[in-house]
Amino acid sequence: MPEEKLYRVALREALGEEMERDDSVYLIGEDIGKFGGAYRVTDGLLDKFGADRVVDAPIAEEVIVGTAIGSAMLGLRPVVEMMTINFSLVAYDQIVNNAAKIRYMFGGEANVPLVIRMPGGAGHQLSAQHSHSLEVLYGLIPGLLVVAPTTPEDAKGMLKSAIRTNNPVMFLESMSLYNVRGMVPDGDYTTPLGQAAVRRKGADLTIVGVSRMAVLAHEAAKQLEEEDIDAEVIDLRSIRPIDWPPIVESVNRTTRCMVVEEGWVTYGVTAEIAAGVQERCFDHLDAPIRRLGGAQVPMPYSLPLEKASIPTSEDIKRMARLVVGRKNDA
Amino acid sequence: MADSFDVVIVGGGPGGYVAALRAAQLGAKTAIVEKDRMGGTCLVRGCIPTKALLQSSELYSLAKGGAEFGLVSDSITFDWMVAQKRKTAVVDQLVKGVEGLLKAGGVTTFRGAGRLGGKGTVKVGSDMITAKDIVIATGSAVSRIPLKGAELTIDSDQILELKDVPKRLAVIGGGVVGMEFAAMFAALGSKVTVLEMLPQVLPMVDADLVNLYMKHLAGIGGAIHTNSKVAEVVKAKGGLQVRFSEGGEGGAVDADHVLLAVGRSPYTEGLGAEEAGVKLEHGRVVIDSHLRTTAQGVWAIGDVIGGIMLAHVASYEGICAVENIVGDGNRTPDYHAAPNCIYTDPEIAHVGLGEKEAKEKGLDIKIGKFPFVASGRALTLGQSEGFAKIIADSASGKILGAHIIGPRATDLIAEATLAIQNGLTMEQLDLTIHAHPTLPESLMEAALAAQGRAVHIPNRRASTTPPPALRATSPASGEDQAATSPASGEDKDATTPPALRATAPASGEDQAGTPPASGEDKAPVVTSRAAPVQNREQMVASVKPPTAPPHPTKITPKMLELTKENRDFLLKLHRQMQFIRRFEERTQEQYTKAKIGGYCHLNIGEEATVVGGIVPLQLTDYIFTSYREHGHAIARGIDPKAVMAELFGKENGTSHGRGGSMHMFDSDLRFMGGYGIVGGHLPLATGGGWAVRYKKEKDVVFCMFGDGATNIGAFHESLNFSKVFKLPVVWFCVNNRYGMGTPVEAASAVPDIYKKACAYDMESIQIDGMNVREVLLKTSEIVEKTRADSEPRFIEAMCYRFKGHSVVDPDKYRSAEDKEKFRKADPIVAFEHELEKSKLADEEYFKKVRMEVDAEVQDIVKYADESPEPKVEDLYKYVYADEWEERPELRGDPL
Repeated sequence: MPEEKLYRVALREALGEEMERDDSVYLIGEDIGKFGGAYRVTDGLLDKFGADRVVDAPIAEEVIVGTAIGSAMLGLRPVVEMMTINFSLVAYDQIVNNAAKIRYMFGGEANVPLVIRMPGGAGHQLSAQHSHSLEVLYGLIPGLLVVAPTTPEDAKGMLKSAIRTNNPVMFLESMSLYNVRGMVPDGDYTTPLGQAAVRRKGADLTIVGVSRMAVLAHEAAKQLEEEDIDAEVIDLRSIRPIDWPPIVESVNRTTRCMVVEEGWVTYGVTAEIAAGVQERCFDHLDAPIRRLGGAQVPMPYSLPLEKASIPTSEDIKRMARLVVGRKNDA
Repeated sequence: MADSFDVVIVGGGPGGYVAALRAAQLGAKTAIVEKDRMGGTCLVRGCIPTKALLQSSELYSLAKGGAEFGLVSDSITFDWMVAQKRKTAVVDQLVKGVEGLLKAGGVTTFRGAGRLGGKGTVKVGSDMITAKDIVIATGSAVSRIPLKGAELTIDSDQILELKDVPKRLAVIGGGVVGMEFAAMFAALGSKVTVLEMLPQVLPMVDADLVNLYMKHLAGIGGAIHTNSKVAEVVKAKGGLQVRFSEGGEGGAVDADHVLLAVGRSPYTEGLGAEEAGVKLEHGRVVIDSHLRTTAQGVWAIGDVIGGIMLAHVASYEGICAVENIVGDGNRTPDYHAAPNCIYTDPEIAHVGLGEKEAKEKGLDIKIGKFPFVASGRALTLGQSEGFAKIIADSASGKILGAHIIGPRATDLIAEATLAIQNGLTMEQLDLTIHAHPTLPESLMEAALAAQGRAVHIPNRRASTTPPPALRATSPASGEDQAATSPASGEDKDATTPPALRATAPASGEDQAGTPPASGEDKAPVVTSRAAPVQNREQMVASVKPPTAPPHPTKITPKMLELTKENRDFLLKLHRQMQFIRRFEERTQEQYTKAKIGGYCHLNIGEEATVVGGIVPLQLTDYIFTSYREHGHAIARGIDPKAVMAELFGKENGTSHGRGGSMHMFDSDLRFMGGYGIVGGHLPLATGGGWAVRYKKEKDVVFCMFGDGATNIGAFHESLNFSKVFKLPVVWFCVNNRYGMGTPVEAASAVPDIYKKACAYDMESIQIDGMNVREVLLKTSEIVEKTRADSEPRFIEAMCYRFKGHSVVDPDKYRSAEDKEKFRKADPIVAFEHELEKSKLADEEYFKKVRMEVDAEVQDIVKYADESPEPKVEDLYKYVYADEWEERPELRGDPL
């Protein structure tokens, strides 16, 4: 029987099942073993698989990621946990110059089957250096696959796919989604990488959401029903590659489009989607494509300031009204 | 209900059934799965039925010539169907025999196609079997090539079922299968024509044997066209016609049947291998040195893993795999004495190195030949065509190879195989009493002939072929020089496929460096065997440049003493250093000619650290290195042509022109790449060490970097990590005293770099990086310690680069005196002084080496220049692996 599970539990199941299935899979990260992981995703796995397969590494992101890449070249399948996406910047050289490029610069003679899991997002008063949405920094890089699952079902299915592919995958989780519940199918299933998901069919406009913003967009769309606005919601799920066909099909039908992310919109994922939709759907568009993102400031600590920095479902509704040509009351 | 076993073997061929029997012997509860008849291709469609028919054809030939022996008959005719019936009976008897053995051995048999179900399960029809370990032994199937009219041809399975002997038979492919059928049908009176694309049929056999065989075939009306590319097969004149081009000219052969014999491909259809986590590469199952696949508890042996696709090799691998599963778990197959038998008329068999191969490796060899016409037994048999040839190491007398063409060559090879497998010398062979009159006496005589002591043939002057390295020093060798072409290698190029990739040496042993009779010589164990091997012929052609780096199995202080016994090894080291020097000088020249672009960092002045650092490593060790790595790649054994081609940005470069100067790579040689971010590869080497530890292997990761890298965070993180987790990594710092233009003292708070490793509590030494013998010895000691205890260690090798940081560096930051001082300490010049003082070589010799390596390098440059560029349409190839390769949405193409 499929049952409701927490997003973090779904991730834990994916890790455990893949480690069970394939001896070459191991986990490495900071405090993922004894401590159980900063977000408790890996809790209990140390007891089950031992310290060789659930590795508590020194707090040294560059060597953690480099070790994972080097071991992947020798045939292991490492899954790295970065405590938060902010810390991945310390390992950015390894990710960009090594993980993403090794296969190409050695003419296909080596593969890097690597997964780096890391939570992004904000909303817990963690302030500037612990709150980031950096999808675009990874989405930019050829050689990487970048995904951002939003449901427990996808979290488990996509993590399994990520572990099984021979390409390096940036697996972007959201710290605000770990406690979300959702149905998770039974047994060994995988969810393909590289595919967007239509979360709600609608006729009036298309809202493309990135990571947690896809969840907020879905909430907003349900509320917009009362205002007689029928929004289609697409969960981007894959940052690289972008799955254009469902987006194009949707926008050509609704003729209106808006894009929401938690990160900064200038040069952001929303910029890329908006540009792509414009190129592909120009003749069908009845309104400018709108973008919504986080305030362009380092994340402030103060609660009211932080709230003002992250898009809400109200913000999404407001922009949706604008896109379909309705007036906003407030 | 699932049956559960310790070991399940999928495939009942000579690999599979032998493995099953051995597993059962060792007490494992064993099952075997076979969808066809027990015995596999070998028993049912290959070795056995063809040999049964060959016996008929041979008897027929003998009987036709019987009058000479007193066998008088009015007419001798041949009944093909009777021969077929006998063949079937032989096969049936053997198949029954195998079934009986399995039953008696307590092996459970499942009939049907086995499919891997993951997690230790195998599905056979509706049965589900579970096993702790599974061995894939599904063998191979006949290869097909895209050829117009291929549907008109028959393959080696179908030819066995022919209802009569064709009047005219055309054979496409001059490999073993093609030549055996050619021989058989020619003997039965068919007019046989063989079409081969390469310049020689049976390319893995020495040319003198092949020439003799071709003469024989021509004598009975057969024809062989080499260098012939088949264009199409068409219907014509009540039969078929094969159209081909031979050296640019068109030709055609009429035939009743056309046999397509272009090799065999690994067979995994319906096995569900990849779904079960078993990685395939070009259709073959990828295995590690212990025959493990990428899936836990799944092993693979025989033709399905590519490599040497022979029945007896499969059986041998089967035993290795099973003993790894049930036994002590540490057997790695050693192929250096795998014999190959070809049942032509006369028969051909060979084992170990051929004459051509040995010469290409630059080995100093002795050759002895004995013709069967001088053998009493051969004369009594009336089969005196052919000869036995022995190839042996000059210095030690150790037998390296044997090539035999003549009566029962396929049986005779057994003695040579035993000798090579056990490292016997020619003397040990010739001191063994051989019964008289027998055919094996010919091997004894060949061994004697090589030593100038043959009894039954006149002795020539000892037929030593001096390797290039030795010629100049032996004053009496004037005549020999003419016989050996100076390292030109043109003839090799003709047979080398255009995409030339480095291949691991066929044998890991190096004569000079191997202590005699150590019994530990193993073939190099590589992570994955070279690309798709469909014709075993291709696989045997290991093209090595004349200056190949030595790969001794072990370094001892004694080996490095400047004595006569060590001369060969020491001169090889010298030649390798000189070769790298010249390679880099020519590289610089090509850079100024704009044939090479980008940044280009040369090893000039660092040769002692290059050769001294890499030669002590085992071929199973891993190397991660920096961007200054042309010499490193060459010293590891990567073909210098592939290195130069990469510098030229060509498709047949080590990285297919995608990497260039800074990114050489070779997975077979475990050369895990050159990297361009200073210090950025140290974490990768840490990961390499992690993987070795994780897999509980005994390999060492050797990480090379410059002094500049020791100031970066990654350096400290990596040293710390390697020590915390006890990883088998040797950190090898080539301190050439400058990080680009900044001297070490100006950049590093601790200018004695080896001291930095003390912060991580690891053993660390500083050595003279201008002295190749010191580097070699100290590196070897450190590496072997690390192999033994899996503790990281650190070496700082002090040296000097004679050129700027890169080719474009004007080098204004170093004083003229400084440069002069180190010039005087030139590691090559210093080594030459040592060699000269010890009377191991003289200036004339060094001059000669310089000339020879320059000739080699010039050929290499020419090769690189003439090599093809990567295709622009392949721009996106290699960005992503597998299903993601070349997906349009990953290119960002608009719409």
